[in-house]
Amino acid sequence: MRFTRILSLMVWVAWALPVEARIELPKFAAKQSLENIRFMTQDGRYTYSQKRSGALSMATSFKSVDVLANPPGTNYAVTSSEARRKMVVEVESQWHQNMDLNKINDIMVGAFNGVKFEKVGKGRVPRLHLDDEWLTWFDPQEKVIHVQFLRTPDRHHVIRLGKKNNGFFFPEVVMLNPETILYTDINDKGFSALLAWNLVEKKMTVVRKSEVSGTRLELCRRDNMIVMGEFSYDDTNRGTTIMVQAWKDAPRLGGFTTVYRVSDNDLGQMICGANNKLWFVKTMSEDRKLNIRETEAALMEFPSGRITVKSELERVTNLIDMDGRILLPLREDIFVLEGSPGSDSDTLKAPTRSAP
Amino acid sequence: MKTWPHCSQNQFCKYLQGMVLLAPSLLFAQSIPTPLQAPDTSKYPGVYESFEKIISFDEQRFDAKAKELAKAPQTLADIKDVQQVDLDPDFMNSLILNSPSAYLKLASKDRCAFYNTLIADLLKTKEGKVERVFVQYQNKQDQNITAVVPKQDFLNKSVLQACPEASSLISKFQIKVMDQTIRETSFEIPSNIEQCESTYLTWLGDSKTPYWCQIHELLEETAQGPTVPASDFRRKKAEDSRIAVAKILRGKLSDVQQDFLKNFCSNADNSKSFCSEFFATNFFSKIVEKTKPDIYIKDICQEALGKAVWSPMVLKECVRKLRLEQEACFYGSHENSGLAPQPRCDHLSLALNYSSLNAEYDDCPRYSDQMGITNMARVLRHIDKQPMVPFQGFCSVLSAGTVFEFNKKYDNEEVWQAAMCYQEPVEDVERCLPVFFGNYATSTASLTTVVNEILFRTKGAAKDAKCEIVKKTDWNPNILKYRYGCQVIVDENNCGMGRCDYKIMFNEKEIKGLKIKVGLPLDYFPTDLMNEKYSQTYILQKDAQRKMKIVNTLPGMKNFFKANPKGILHGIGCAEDLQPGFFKKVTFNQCSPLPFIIDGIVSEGDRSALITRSAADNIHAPRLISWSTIYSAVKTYQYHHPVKQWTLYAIY
Repeated sequence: MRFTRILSLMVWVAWALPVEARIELPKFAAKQSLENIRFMTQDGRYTYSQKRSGALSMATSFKSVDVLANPPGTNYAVTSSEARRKMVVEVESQWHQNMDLNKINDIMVGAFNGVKFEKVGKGRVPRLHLDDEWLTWFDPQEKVIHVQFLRTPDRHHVIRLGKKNNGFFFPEVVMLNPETILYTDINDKGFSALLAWNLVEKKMTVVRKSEVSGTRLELCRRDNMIVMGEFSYDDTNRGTTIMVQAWKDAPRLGGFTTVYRVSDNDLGQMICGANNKLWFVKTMSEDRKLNIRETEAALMEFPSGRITVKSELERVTNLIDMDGRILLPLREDIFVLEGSPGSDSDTLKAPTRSAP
Repeated sequence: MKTWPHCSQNQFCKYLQGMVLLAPSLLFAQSIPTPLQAPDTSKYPGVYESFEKIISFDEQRFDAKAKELAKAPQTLADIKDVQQVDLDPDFMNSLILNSPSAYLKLASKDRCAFYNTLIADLLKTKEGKVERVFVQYQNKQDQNITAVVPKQDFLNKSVLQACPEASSLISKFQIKVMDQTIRETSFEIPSNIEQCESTYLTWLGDSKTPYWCQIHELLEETAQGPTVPASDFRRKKAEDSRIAVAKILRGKLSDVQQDFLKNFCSNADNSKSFCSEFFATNFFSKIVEKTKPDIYIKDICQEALGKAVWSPMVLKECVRKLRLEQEACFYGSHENSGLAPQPRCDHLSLALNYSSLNAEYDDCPRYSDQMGITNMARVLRHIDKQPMVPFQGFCSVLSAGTVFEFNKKYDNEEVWQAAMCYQEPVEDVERCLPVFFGNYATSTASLTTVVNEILFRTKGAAKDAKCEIVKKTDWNPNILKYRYGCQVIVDENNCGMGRCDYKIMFNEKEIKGLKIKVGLPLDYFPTDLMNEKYSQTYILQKDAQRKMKIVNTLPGMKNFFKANPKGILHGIGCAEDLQPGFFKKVTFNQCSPLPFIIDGIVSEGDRSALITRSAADNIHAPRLISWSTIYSAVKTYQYHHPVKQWTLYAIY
């Protein structure tokens, strides 16, 4: 397709975007049907799968055990963090029948690779933080972020968002330290903001407010840095900005440094990967009259800021981090950007013959 | 004359087209001698000059023929066969060269269409309006006669005999029956190109069209007011009469209808020009011109201008703003909003220009807790053209009521799981009544109807007692009107169609002990074969007798819109693939089913954008979404669907 190429204004990134010659991404493969998988560890030893009966099962070493049992039609979303100490399961009932975008689901927590999960609350988009000692989730009906210290159930906090915002808004949340939570909100005029909530003082401060309406903020944290991306909603045409805050010692709230600013309306979907990598979906070309875009997976490396386009699929919309494996789901295929592509072979390795 | 469309604006080019267009009409003019002899040599090297010459020849021939025929006047009293009366070739040529090509196109359909345009005074000779006609016919003595006769004689003795329908057409355009004729005629503004093409062909083929164009010509002619000096008594009297008739007609035809006639009668020879008049115009300007209702932008305007009042001046001020500031369309009011930000103004205008969904109401998707119901209600209200009914509570109750009544009509109300339950005192059993939170006309599932029924059964309230829905923010027990009677107090920030934070007050006491079954799960498309018959699409097809056809290619969709200009498609896709800027995947195999409607297509070169509303979108704010995005969303949902069903269908 010959879309009109929109010239980008690169502020900090001086390189032209290199596209790897003829990118052929490997497809993710597994021994079980991919559509049933909800989580697989990077080494492929533990797999959590959805069963038609409504159960969630965990399979390892040719054994399978049901870890959660619910009525048919129940769907599970399973996540972990880079700490790999705990796992979170979101239990969604009546997946295909209850089409409520703001429905709240049971949030269950268990040990990483574990088979016992306990309910900690109801909401959406659970996230583990700070060595998996903290869990946050969002209640879209009450417009409240729940913050739970997992070792002590009594240490539960709530952060209330503005009710007069986008009815389908979901905040991004990262924890800087046990006292400070960074989260995004949007006001009734459509201006996004990055806010900090101090759990001790129960006080909110505005870290950064968008200069224009119609943008959304994304947040991710890895090791010693937090990345904030400001992207355009759909066709709002506000361009893209990516900012980074890094620290050497104890994490503390400071200023963000802009590392990337373009007039392209990148899709975002940021993932802070291992080894100072930032994955996001970049807009390669755009027909602004008809609102049609070509998008690809891109990788930004820190501290160089070098960006490499990592796919040639033209219509990338989402990226997923599954236990360190960076995946690109597109229709019924899952492409692997980083990590093992897995295997669908059931053949056991032959024992190595000892030397005579 | 750079291109053909430009050429169509050129007078000489119109003549050229006219001659081509009239070729079928010429077929019935038998034994026509060579009408015009081209000169052996020409001094005119260019096309322009050649046409000048042709016209000059035509005028000479016309004058010569008129002079010759005037010597032997005829009355058409001895015509042998009215079907054999033909127009003289030189007269025809003069009509071709002097009539607007749009009217020649109307005349070219068949013999009677030609006569209708002649009766309606749309065709012209070098003398202007046709007052006399050159005819050829056989008389009763089998002699071939060429004669000049008054037009009225020709009409009475030949045309009305050959085309008897013309008499009834003329009678339909008399002032005293005009109201009925207007009512019987569709002036609907097309909402997409396919519909416009269909409208164009309908009008082109309608035998009444020349008479409508006659009205248009009269309105145009009299638009400037009197022009004839009072001293010219005879002409002045005729003009006054025309102005008086035009005034009456202006009172009967709306501005929209007059604009429609102007567009068609000016562009009857060119469907592209006709349609571009509808779609090249900014949609917001159409609202100012009252060809589209202001409901599409009222909400945005009040937010953008910060004004609660609404007037034509505010509308104009707002439209000026929307044309200059693309971001002015991002946000409507909190109450009515759906997924925000909405499209930028230029995209919104483009999408609305090509949108055909009946969307002249609010349905508040922000308060929808079942996107399947919101979407199905939009489909039902479109295909059944349902009128608005009174409702109370959030406007999302329109969707709940529409879908509940649809299911009830086809004996499928048990699909409605939201219910209010009470302990039946006599039989001591729990009874549940289906409910939605709000009131929709006389629906039995309206909240206050259900509460009334329960209070009647359990508290001895009067059968005809009327409960009232009161917003939590408005309720004050100290106000007299809230002290007695029944109020259902709802928290507007936490209410949907099937769940709500509420309490019931009856004579100052809170009614407790009622159980609510929350949620409205239902199958939009079948999710298993056993329960297929309860799905909404099954009822739509089998009970409501609507045809649905699977669409899984872009050409298939284009063909559908071409054949069904007012048609819509509905489907379900994964929200994270359909609207990835709003919904983000964070887990493996994540998919949030989100229904949507496609009601138009806009193409430019080989690229096309589909006019799409997800159920979360404000009904007045369709988006431009590419086919590949739609396909990805549906394909991914199919991958997760229990029976792997493809979920994008055209509705006929």
